[in-house]
Amino acid sequence: MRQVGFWKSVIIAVCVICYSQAVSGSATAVPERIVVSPSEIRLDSKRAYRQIVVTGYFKGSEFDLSSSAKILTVDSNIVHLKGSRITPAGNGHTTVKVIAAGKTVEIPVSVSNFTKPDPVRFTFEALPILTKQGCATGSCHGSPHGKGGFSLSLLGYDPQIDRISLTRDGLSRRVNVMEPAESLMMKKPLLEIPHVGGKRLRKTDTGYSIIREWIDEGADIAIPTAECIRITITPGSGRVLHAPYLCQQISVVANYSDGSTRDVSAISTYESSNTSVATVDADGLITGHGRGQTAISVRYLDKLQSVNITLVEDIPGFVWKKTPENNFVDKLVDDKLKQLQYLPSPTCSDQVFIRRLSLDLTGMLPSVALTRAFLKDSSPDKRENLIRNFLNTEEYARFWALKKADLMRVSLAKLKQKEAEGFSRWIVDAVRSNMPYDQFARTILTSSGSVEKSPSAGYFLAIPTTEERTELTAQVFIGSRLECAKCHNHPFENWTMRDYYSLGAVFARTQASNGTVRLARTGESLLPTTKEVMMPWGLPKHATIESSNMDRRSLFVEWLTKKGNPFFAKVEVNRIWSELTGRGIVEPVDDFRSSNPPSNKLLLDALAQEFERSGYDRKQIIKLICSSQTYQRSTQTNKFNESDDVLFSHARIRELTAEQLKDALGLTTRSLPSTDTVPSRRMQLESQLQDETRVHETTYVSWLNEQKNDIHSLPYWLGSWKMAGPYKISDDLNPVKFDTEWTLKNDIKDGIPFELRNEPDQVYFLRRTIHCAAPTEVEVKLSSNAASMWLNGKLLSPKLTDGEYRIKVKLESGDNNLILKSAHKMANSNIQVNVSVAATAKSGSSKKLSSTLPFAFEILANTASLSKDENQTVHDYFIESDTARKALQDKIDGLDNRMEYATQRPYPEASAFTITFGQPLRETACTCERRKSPTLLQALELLNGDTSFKMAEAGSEYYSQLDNKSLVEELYLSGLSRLPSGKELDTSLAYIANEPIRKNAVTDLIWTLMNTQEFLFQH
Amino acid sequence: MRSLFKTIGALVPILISITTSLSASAESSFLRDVAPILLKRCAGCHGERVHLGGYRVDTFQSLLLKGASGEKSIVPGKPDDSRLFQLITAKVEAVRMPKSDDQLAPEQIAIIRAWIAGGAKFDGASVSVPIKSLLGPRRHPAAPVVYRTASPIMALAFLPDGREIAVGGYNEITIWNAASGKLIRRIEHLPQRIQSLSLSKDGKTALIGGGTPGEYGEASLIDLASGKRTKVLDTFNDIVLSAVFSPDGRHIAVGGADMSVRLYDFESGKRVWMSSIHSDWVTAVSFSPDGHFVASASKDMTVKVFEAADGSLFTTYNGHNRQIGKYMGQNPVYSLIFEPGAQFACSAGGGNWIQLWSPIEAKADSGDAGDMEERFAKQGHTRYIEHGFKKGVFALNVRGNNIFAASADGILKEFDLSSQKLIRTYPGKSDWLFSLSVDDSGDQIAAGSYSGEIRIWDTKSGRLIIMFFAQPGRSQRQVPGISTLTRQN
Repeated sequence: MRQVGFWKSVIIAVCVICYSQAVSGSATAVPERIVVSPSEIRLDSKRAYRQIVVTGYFKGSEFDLSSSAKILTVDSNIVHLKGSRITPAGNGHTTVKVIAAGKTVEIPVSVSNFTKPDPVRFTFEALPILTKQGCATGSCHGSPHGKGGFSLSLLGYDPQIDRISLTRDGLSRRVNVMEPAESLMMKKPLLEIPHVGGKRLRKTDTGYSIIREWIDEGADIAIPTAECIRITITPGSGRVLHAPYLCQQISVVANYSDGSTRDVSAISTYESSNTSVATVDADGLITGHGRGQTAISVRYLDKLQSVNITLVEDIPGFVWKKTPENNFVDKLVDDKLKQLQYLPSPTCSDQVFIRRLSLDLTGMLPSVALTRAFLKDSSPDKRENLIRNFLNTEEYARFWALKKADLMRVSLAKLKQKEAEGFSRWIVDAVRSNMPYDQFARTILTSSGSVEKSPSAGYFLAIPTTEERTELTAQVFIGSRLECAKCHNHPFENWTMRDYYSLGAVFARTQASNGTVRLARTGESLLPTTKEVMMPWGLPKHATIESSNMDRRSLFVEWLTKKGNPFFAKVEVNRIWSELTGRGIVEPVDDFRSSNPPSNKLLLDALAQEFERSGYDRKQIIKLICSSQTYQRSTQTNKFNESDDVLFSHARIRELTAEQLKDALGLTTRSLPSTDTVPSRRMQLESQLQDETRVHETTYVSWLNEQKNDIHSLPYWLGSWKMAGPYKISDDLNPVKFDTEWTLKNDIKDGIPFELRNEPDQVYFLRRTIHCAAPTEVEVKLSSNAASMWLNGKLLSPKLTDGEYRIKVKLESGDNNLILKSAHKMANSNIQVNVSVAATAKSGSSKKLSSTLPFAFEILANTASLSKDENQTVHDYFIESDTARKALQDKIDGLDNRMEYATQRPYPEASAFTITFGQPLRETACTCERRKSPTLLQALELLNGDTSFKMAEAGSEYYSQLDNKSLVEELYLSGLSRLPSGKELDTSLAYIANEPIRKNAVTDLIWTLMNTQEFLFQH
Repeated sequence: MRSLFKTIGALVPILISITTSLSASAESSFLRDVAPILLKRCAGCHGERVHLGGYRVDTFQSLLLKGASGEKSIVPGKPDDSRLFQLITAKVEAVRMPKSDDQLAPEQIAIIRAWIAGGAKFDGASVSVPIKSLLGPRRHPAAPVVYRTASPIMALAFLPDGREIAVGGYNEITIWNAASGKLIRRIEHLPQRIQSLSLSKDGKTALIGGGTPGEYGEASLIDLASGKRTKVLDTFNDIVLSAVFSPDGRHIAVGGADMSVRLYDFESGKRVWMSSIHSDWVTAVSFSPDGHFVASASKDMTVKVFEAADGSLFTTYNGHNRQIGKYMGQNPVYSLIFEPGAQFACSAGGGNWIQLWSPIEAKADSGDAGDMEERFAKQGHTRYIEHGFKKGVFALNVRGNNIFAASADGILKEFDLSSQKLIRTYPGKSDWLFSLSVDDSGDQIAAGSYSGEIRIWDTKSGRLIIMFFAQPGRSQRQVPGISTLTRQN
């Protein structure tokens, strides 16, 4: 801002130069016609003005002539000029003549109300100045605690704060209505007295006269009845700057809810997203500097819009060469490349293609056999076939599910293992069956019930708060980072606090606990500033809050997945594009906003349309992109595209992700068996399991008898816990008389605090049997935050509050019945009970049985002859207690979940190795959580790490079995998906020959390959 | 011919200097002519806190030092060889000083040129102290004949008989008939804003504190009979917010936005001590009734209590900045007054309470580092009056057992000090109330607001006596809602 003046002078100089070039240039400098916007001007106040924009139409293109146009006023008693801005001078009708490139256009101007007072409106005029001059930014007075004791709302989101702050706060020192120029709020930014924020205002600025006038008129802070509903920018997006036309004037008109409009070009704030392409000055004059694309964002109050500008340069020696266009993707990419004069790279080789595609679609390196076959294949559609085949693999389903699970925080930190596995499996199933993406979103966002029945409920279980749900849903499905709008309007986007809390309202009634998602009947989202109840997002216009009593989430999903939704399809195709090419068309992929435009808008639009047309078929989009020439380009650049990083003129070199690398190392070194072996390994384990079960079964009868004996020789034993509830705390429940269904609670373990996930004011009962051979005194240790205890129908303790208790009780011989009642005003009670034999009891029993009996043993203890059901329970216990069998079953489960494959697992391995290589812990919804930049630790891990060392050693076991030439070829095919070159082969063979111990030489070769860039990168 | 040109050349600077305002004096004065330009146009970037280009102009010494360029900033007698002069007259805008700003006015350039040409002489007391401190008290302009709008009333005081009320105006004090709301008298050529106004025991002298926000503060004594500023006690770097007499009338305490608290001897006008331990504006100062202590309230959320004799810190009251407990809050303190009988202080600002406390017990509450936890846990001796205002309290006044509080809610309330109960909410609602005064009889109370409105109530009945705008030139007929301007009792 301090540089404003300097830039202004440079920009004026540049624009004068562009004009003189235009005049002296070739015949193209004569436009077919010129158009002046607006075509007619009405100024209805002495302070109104109108910025004009002059456009010249040349053959097929349009360029801005505003800064070079000569504007003549016919009657200077009615209008004056301020640059290319028309300002009133008196009431009446007249015209202004606009002469540009030899053409003249006259526009009628009428001025009215010139002599009527029109005081500066604080909210509409003074407030935007505080933003424009930088006062209300986050680093200055707009920061939460202001600066130097003076605080403003961030970018004016809360005019009420600013009204008071400027006039009354600070003991009223900031404005001086008696002598406006003496106001502190003018002298500070003018730097007439020291100001830590420096020079922020010049007397020539429009802002100066507005603020001065506002104070002069009494610093009125009346709250307007109208509000700004929209701003209109002329010209809209898409203008191209091309020398000599390197300038573009824009005008901004605000529309208010009372129907009035006013030109706000002079008081809007302008910013360029890429200043090396173009800069914009305080008057909305854009000046181009270098080839590329930028978004000029225009802010007026809480309205923010962007204008996309492309600057085209003639590159010496550039000649477009036609490259194959496989589908519409290539056409749209090439159109952009042609326009900005980048020359695409040629098609990549087959070996590069199979490695790139396999890593992208399955996460893993292609097998040697597949690679050999593909390289040999000479059919013209072999690449198409490969894409199709990969898309039908289990590996594809799991690897692409992992990407979604990353975003949805499927991790053991957020979910129980069962929940994580269930939700993850559900996502895999959805990807495998190619579930239409709208259905995918709908199922997740409207999931209810227990996680067993609807595994997608894991989405809500992983994010228990409304804030998290609002932010995650926005980031995943709307591609926007809404967090800023929690406390103030988003500084770079149109998102407001209202948006945030109305999205919050969608989830305000969704409750997730105890592995179950339920819909509550009440629950609202309030706007923090006004405590206003927000209508849920997606509610049709004019609907009342009552009509939101249905599942609010389905209304939202309806809005979200409706064709033409501005985000849904675009966000997903952009994510797919980014996964396949290494960069989103919008980047970052979850930061869609008008000030962060797509690098190729038409491409994004076309992909989104295709996605909608196909019924949200993700495989279809993947196929489309992978089949394109754009995807299949080489990473090798040429002189005309080496500087391109965003337009996809060449493929990007990408580091393998942590999971890809882990699996690639395993597969290359054969320390990880190929996924092809999973079915056969599973079958083998299954048969081992059957064998084990059969052998174990033969011991059942003897086991049963032995256990019975053991139990009856125990001096005492404790049965398993059973539970009843929940009941309302208000219900008068006497647990002694109380007859109810008791459910077995095997998860309550002695000595480990048990957490009852109850809602407030709920009651649970816990019961257990204690059997004694003879009357025994025992000590009951109870710690809880609220409970009562009964023994054999007698209340042992009144309500115990928070604390630990040791209670000595006398038990009768036979069964004793211990009941606990838990009740707590707060949610989630803790209960821990320990029953131990007091010192007086008989000891000396050396039975190996624990005195705490599993349920099955309880049956054995109580029943002489077992019923069929009881027998089943005992038998099940017997089978499950077989540790050898359990180990086999775990192995099978591990295979089913593909736990050994980092790219295929249901939840992250989170090992030191994968974390080193950037594996996200799934703590945020941001793809940025996956670290992409290489680190020193990674280099050390690969060079000296335990994992890589062990893998190389393991690899030598396998490769040493082969003859020298075969082993080198096999190694190259495994790790790099290609055969070694003649020189590479010779060097390798010579190395093996010279090394005294052959196995060491092989280890070295593997280690060397693992550390090549070709192995570590996808290219 | 050549010698003629030479003569003309030599004459040019003289001619220029003659055409300027300096023409009357034989020689330019650094402090009078040059320093104001430097402070207003240069010191923003080349000052004490920010010194771009390694150059600063806050002291005369630093003004003469070379900046980062290594060139001599001022060569006495040779303006064109002086870097400073070259830069303020540079043709290229990108190079010229002040950078990215409007050029100095031609007459200002002429002043600087003439001063350097005349030998760049210094007419101050010390080259190493801030130039700002050498400028002395400002000469203030006359007040506007007619106020174009109301000026916020930050200070007001009843004159001894209660028939007239003095009000802080713009570059003046205005004196109004308290019964009719008529303007009686104006005492002009005073600081731009008057933030504090109190009378000496004999009622003959007014003590004012005020200044220009952000740049100048002044505490001075006005002889009411003649309307003359008889003594300027001190000048300050920022506006003075509070200036009061000691109960015996022999001392004066002053505090302001420069964060200092200062004590003066009334007779001699000499400064006795000064303390700069507050970290934000000092918003109010008050003497304990026995004159032993001076307390100062601050935006830094503390009230400091000093020994009046030597300015040593007695204790710090932190009751407005409590992080735990029932009376939690971090609030600036805007108003402070001692209860005259029982020696306790009443302080308020942000937050929900007027807090009543004694310096001695506050010191005991503060304890030492060893008993910190205990101190945090206990509430302390403070008594709290829950005032029920939504916004801050900017003025307090005590009469007998009653305390009056004026708030930004625009409402005046009266509480009982011993019971801490509300006695009365006075009728009417104004803009933010900033000032209060009770007359000597205790029968009338006046409050002044942001919008320039003064309300006077009868403290016995609580009735509104009069409301008027202390705005010279304003027709009081415009005042809405008041049918009669006569005293109602």
